[in-house]
Amino acid sequence: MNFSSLQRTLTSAIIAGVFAGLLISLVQIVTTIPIITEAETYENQAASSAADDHHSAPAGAAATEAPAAHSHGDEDSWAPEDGVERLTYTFLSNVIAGVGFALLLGAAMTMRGRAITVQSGALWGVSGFLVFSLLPAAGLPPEVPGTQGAPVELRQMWWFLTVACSAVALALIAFKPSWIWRGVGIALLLVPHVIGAPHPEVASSTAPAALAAEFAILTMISSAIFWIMIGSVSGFISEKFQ
Amino acid sequence: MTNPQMTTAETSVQVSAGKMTSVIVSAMIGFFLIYGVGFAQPNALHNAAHDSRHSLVFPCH
Repeated sequence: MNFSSLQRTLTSAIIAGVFAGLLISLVQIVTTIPIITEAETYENQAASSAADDHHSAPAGAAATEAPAAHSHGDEDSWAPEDGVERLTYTFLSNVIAGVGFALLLGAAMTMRGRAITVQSGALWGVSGFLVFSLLPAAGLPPEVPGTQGAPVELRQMWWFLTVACSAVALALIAFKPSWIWRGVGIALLLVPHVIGAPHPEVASSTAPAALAAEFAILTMISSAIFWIMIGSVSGFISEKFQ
Repeated sequence: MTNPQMTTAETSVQVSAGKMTSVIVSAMIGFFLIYGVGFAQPNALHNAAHDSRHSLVFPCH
């Protein structure tokens, strides 16, 4: 079979993304999802006690300072039912994210133009983890529900800036033989962190700090598994296509 | 970021049109999927992808 470059990239990204998305969903069921659920009970408690305060307190100061309830404004906006429906959407979202990340990684690997094996694919996966998970999390730590952050648009912009700078920086450091370019890469790696991630004036969270810390560690471990799966399965598929 | 390596003739990469098409098309579809699952703001999309967004550390609400 003679596949074009595009067909090869798309096929291996789809297979790797679906596989990694399904696997990471199973990992999340025993790691991050129980913490999200627990954090939401704290969040809902805080929201309902804030509502009670609002009825009794004359100024309602406590209510305005309390983090917003989890419904994000519209009470009537659609959300999946807790249980199987919610889990199904999580699986679906993870598979879409897996395919999306695998396509971005595939684009980078194709641009580099070297043959990819399971081992080198895993290394590409590690760089994906650094670019898309660890380095953005260095500025914007993983957040459990109920955490009061800076406006989401600002955080998304900083996240995007960090991913773009880190991707170019890692490519310069890894692929450029000249130390000048590697120096530029290191500088670029630091740029978003020197600018600084957006943080709220007063940080607050309804969940206990220990829960947030556990969540931060588990998201990093599961993201690392996710990315290494994406990379190594992409490598496996492209070995088969050779 | 097209990086034709300057070191040896063996590593100098001639980026073919087919390869560039494949890079651009996969990057665009990938970007679109990640935007939808991690960034799009409509409530229904946010709620559907909620646990995934938190677990994969996308900036969320």
